[in-house]
Amino acid sequence: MSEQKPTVAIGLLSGCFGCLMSFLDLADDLAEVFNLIEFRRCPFNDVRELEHVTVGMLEGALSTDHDMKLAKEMREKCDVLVSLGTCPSYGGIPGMRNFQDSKTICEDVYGRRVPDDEELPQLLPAVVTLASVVKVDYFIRGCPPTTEKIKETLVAILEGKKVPEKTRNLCVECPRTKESILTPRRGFLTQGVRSVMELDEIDPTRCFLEQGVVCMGLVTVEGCNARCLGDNMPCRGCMGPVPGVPSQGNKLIDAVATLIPSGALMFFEDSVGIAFRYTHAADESMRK
Amino acid sequence: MEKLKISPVSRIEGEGQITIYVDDNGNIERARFQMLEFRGFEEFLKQRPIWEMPLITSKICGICPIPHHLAAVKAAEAALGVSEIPPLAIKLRKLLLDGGSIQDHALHFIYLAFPDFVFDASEVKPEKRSVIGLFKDYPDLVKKGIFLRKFGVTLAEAVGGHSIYPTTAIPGGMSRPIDEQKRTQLLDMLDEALQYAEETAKLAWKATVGLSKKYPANFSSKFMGLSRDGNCAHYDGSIVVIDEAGKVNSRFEADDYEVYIEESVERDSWGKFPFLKKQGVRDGVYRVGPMARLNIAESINGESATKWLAKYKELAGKKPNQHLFSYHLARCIELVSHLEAVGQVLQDQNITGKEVRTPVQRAAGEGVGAVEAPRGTLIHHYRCNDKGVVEYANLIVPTTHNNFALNASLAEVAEEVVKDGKLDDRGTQRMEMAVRAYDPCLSCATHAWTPDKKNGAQIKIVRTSEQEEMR
Ligand code: SF4
Ligand code: SF4
Ligand code: SF4
Repeated sequence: MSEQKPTVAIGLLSGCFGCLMSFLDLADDLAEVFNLIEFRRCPFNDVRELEHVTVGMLEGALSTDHDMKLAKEMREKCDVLVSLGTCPSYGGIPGMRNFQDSKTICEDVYGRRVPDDEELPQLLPAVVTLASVVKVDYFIRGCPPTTEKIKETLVAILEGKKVPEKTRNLCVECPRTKESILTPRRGFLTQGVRSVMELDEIDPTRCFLEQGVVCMGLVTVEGCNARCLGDNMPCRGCMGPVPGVPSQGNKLIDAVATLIPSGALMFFEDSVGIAFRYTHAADESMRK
Repeated sequence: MEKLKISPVSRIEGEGQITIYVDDNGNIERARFQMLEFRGFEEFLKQRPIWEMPLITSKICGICPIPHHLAAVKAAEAALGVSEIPPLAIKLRKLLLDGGSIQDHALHFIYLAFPDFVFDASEVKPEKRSVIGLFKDYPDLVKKGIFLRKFGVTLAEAVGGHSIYPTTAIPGGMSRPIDEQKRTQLLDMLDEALQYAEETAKLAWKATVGLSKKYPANFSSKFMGLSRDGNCAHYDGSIVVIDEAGKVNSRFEADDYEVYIEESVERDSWGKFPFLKKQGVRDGVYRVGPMARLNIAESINGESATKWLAKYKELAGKKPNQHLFSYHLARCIELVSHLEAVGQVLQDQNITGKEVRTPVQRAAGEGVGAVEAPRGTLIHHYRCNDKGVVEYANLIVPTTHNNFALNASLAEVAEEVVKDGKLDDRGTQRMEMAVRAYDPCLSCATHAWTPDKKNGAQIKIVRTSEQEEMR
């Protein structure tokens, strides 16, 4: 028998499989990973039973009672539990369903006959974060997290190390320059809030806020290499808040209020759906 | 009543289970593929600005974010009254779609489905029945799979920014052009990718022909997919439905989908069950995806793919292929075709031109956008007010189209493999192979058709007797 390798289990909650795709994007490094660890219950093989493993990773949001059961079972059976991606860490996109209560959602979607077979999972009243239910040892942020981050964290776990925490905001990684924001002035910075599609030119070198487009980079933690900004699109905040900031969404609303005419803030068409897109479920200030 | 359960179904994208309902006499009453997750997108898409749709709906599915991104942008453009975007932007979007399909088809066939063709569950342990087990016994094949995926991902990143979170398609075009260095990088990889795709198609041919002989299947249906003048289309074209004999049953523009498709709800599934309105529940069952597209297509992009298409058509004697394992072959033929198409487009230096968008202003409107995702026809439908705020959203995803058919195929396999009310390991694998042939994507399928209260779209409740007759 060869030396016992660390074992890994992966569980899928209500997510999109994107985090696992980011893992698979290890591509040529996959062989190395296959050599380092041994997969037990995971979507890539046929193991159905969850036995005790060294590392457990959970992808997706806690949205149904099935998710809840699986999360608790994983906690019991895994020495180290990893919250993989923004979904379990902050509720992510699925957390946006908390804008409404679950009964309304079901009735709107299914009419008067909501599926109710006992084999089907039941919706939780609201999406909750993994850390609010069980103890989480490692968080990997991002929707999806970068492939490098997943690898870095896995290696750190296997070596029993901590992963250094990022502490600055995304603007430090952004290739765009700020000019008028930094120049003393009396008036507001832009005339109003616009969407990218409405700009005559999308200036690839200038901060989006100066172009009148809301960018979440200001209130989002660094770590994704500002990937959307490089593609000439504003950040939507998928990495979550800078550590220590309790509310990514409220912070953004504060920030834009100081940049654009306060009247224009009323026209910031979807302050909730943009500022709280990824963290609604985790945000205390959004509780009903 | 007894229930047999396979939970979770392995090697599929998402958490789902199979439940076989067995009556007191030991007869299979029905079999159901059930998704165990729920997200409810259509509800929270409402109240968001329509230009955010491509950015939010790409999170519906991490495996095919690109088709969602593009269906959303097409629907948004239709709603905002954008009649024309730069031709270069359309070319880029098609490339993006190709990139997504290449990585997805390679993933599905090699990583997820192939272990079934070489590892029999009555002999091989569950841990081994995986891409990792495959890597030990067939390292070359897995390396080729990795390379094909890498090509698709590199292409998707070059055009879409990120292959799992594409962001560059915006109403009016693309947020940025592609750069020359990426173009040459991809061209350098192309020959190797083409060679591997060709080998994959050969493997799929062997597997499909062998398996269909060994495990005959009787279930047959109609087929739906996009087609442009008879050519297999993914980004544009009309929706074509053919019947069991291969004759065109209907042809319509995506805008009219509500006239042709109706959906039903059943108590034992979160997913909905669409069928062709005119034919009704029993005769209106259709399938989508690679097999449907090739059954419908009279021609396909690429020289080699054209030869493959002819071979594919002969398999069923000029009639539509109906065997569920033909999905695998069709998928790999498409892999070849996508790569050939990409080669042609990338040869053209003008593809790196800068004219990729025109500005678009917000306006009230309603629009539908359809594309062919790897798993089949994907439809997005939005209505927004003059501030661009979405008031109605409806998505029909490929896995949902296939719901009736998948359950019918499962029931057929269950009849064969359930013995004395029990399932052995191989029987379980056979059931799962049926699921995998359809390649359902659960993250997609847990979004349901929202009835449009304003327009009064109807949801039909299917009676059990009708379901039984269908089987
Ligand atoms: S964090 Fe993002 S990529 Fe990961 S499962 Fe959730 S939605 Fe998908
Ligand atoms: S706010 Fe956005 S665009 Fe401006 S510097 Fe920060 S990340 Fe870049
Ligand atoms: S730029 Fe913002 S939205 Fe884009 S990946 Fe980074 S954190 Fe996420």
